[in-house]
Amino acid sequence: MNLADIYDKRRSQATMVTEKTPVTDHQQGLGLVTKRSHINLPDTDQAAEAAIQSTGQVRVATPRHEEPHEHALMSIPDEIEDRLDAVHVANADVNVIRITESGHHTVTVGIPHNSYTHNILHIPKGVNATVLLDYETDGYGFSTEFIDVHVDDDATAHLTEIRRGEPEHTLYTRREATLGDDATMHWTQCDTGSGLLTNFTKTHLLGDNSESRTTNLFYGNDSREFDVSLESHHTGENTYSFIRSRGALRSAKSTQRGLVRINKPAFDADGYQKADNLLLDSDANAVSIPDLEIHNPNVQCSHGSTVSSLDDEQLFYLQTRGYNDLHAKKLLVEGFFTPYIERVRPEDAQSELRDLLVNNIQSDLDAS
Amino acid sequence: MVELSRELYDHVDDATYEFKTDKGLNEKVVRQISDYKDEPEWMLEKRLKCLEIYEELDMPDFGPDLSGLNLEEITYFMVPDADKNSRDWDDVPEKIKETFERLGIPEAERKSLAGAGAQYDSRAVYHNIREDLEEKGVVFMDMDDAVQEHPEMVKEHFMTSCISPRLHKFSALHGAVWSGGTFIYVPEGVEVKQPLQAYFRMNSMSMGQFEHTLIIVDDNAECHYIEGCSAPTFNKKSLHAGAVEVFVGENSRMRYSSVESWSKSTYNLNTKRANVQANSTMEWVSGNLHSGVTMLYPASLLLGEHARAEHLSIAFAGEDRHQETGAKVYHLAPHTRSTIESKSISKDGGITGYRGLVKIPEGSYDSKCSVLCDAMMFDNESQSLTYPSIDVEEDDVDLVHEASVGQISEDQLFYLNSRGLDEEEALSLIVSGFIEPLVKELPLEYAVEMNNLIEMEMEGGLG
Repeated sequence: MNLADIYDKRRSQATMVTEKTPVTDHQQGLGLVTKRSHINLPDTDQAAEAAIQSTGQVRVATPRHEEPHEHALMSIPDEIEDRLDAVHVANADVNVIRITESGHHTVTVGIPHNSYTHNILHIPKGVNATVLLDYETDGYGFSTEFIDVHVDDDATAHLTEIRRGEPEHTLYTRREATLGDDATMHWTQCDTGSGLLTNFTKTHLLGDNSESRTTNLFYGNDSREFDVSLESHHTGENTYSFIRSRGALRSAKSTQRGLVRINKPAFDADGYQKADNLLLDSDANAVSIPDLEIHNPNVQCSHGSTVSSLDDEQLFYLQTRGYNDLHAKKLLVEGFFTPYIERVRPEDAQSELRDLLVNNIQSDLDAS
Repeated sequence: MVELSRELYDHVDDATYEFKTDKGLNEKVVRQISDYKDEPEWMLEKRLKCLEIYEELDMPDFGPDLSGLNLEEITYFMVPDADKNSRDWDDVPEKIKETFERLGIPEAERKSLAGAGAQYDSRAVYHNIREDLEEKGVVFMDMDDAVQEHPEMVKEHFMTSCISPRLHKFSALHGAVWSGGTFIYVPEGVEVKQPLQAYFRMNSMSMGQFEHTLIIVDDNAECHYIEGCSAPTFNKKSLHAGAVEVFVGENSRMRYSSVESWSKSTYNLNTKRANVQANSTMEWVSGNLHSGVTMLYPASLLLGEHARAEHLSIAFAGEDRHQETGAKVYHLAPHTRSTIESKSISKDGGITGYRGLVKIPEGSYDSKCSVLCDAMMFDNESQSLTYPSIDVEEDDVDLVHEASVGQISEDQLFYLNSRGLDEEEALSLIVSGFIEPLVKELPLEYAVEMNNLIEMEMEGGLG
């Protein structure tokens, strides 16, 4: 079966359930619920003609007859139980992006309003690639964007994604990556929009000695709501994962759920999580849920999370050095993000991130 | 030191019963319970209201698998043939006395504890309190008696502002069929220095135990209450759905300690909650072992400024056990503090879980919380799950969460081996060190019991 056939099969499943399936809230237990049922879906034509296209650095002659990757389309849940998933699968256009040569690649992904985009990014065996995915939205409406990333044996990927959106835009995404033997993936996602953002990111460390570093940097303001889940699933032996999430909130809400899951065969796994939330005003709301599921004792796992405002003592120290209150706050915000921004590849994405995170917050501080 | 073995807990008495209801839960059963106890009308109404809510609510949609629990097969109320609340140990029937003797209850009382109570199935059989405390106005009695003797206090506090029947399905169930338990009142300015204690024992197959513990500590007072629980192993499932409600007044201190060692066939779905007023401290110290399934998340509601909550818990899950414990803390006033420390051990395919929620709403400024979870796993069949969640709406806070899971280090084992300890002894010693922070918070009696229980769980199958 080629990729188009596999996709069409899922599409017909999804078409059958779209109407019946509700948008479900996520129940965390103990009465904590992440609300999703308030997401408004546009009226859509279901089961649009399957369009599988190729973009970017692709060297695929006839994408319609693309041989599927062995882990193709993992981002689509086996059982489609949520309306948002169903609507996406029923309507999405599929793009195959295959990076055939090592080096730096920039791919611009347009997300028009009321659009459904499914990307497949393939880094074949032995390739060492840096990929910047730059998302552009119209600024309003509802969009979905799923991506399946396959990093094959001995390949290395630095994948950086930058998403910006206006408060009027709603974005629903699932992102799933599989790593082969000795594969390495550095995955950075930066979010400063949309008004409502739902992002499920999962990395499957399937190959032995594979390594994954997932970073989520965000700044929420103007009543934005981010609902983000970052997961590492270890299956291969001697695997390593680190999930970092760091962001600031100002009159906005963020739910950050992290999960390190160590499956039974994953001997000698290391899994770490670190989440830091900076609350810049009293209308900010941070929910942090760093989960661990361990099924193999031969592991080192830890997670840590913090929620706080700018540190009074640090502010005071800077003030004694002659900085006024505003300037001191700006410096601390810069210090909060810079160590993370500096790790991002490609290097030319760093100034963009600085602009979106640090400069944006600083000008909001100026305005207040 | 008394040697403990599981045989001691698994011992089943052929005690006779004076009264028991039919299996299953319906209005008739609830009316029978209330009628048997000769309860005032308001309590019957409360029970019926709870039954209504119970029928309305769904089973929990998270945590351990409860599909093996058939709520229709449970006998919700049975009364042992004993004079209720004997003040003298000699009056307690021989069979029941034997069981409690085995578990060390009268011994504990004679030694150091200020008061002791014991409950057998649905009925409290023994309550005693030292005379000097009684003179100061301290009340320590069976909950059923408190309904009759202190109706005003019970009416005000029983399942009202602390545990609402609407909290979840099993709190509603508890409200409908509760029986026995402990009532404690510590008047203003009185400090009860030595712990009050109670022991709950389930002796029958397919039964439920639903004791209600209500503790009211007035302003400027102090109290320590300690509770132990056990049940023999049957091949049919039994249910423990107790409730503990604690009210801590201003400038007071309350410590609630429990060691729950129900049997493998027990579903331990317990609710514990405390309302903590200004400048007061609530401490929860709990050990959970042996029961087949546990879902227990003690909660602290910090209602006044400078209120504090300290949660310390340990769970041990062996073969076919799923122990899910945790903590909930609501910081509902400024300058509130909480610390949560949770330790768990899983072995032989057991599952331990930590599930927690810390909530700091807007306005609770200058609040601080730290959460620490440590898990230890013995083998590839076991599981360790951690689901903490923190929800913060206030920017002037400090919240830290940390967790770690790991295997026992080879270095530690090698070191102990080189000192002449065999592997089993070395593992026991490492586990003792791991649980020490909890055990040292318990009175001697319970510390010894806790250590023995852990040792019992550790026996055999190691490596």
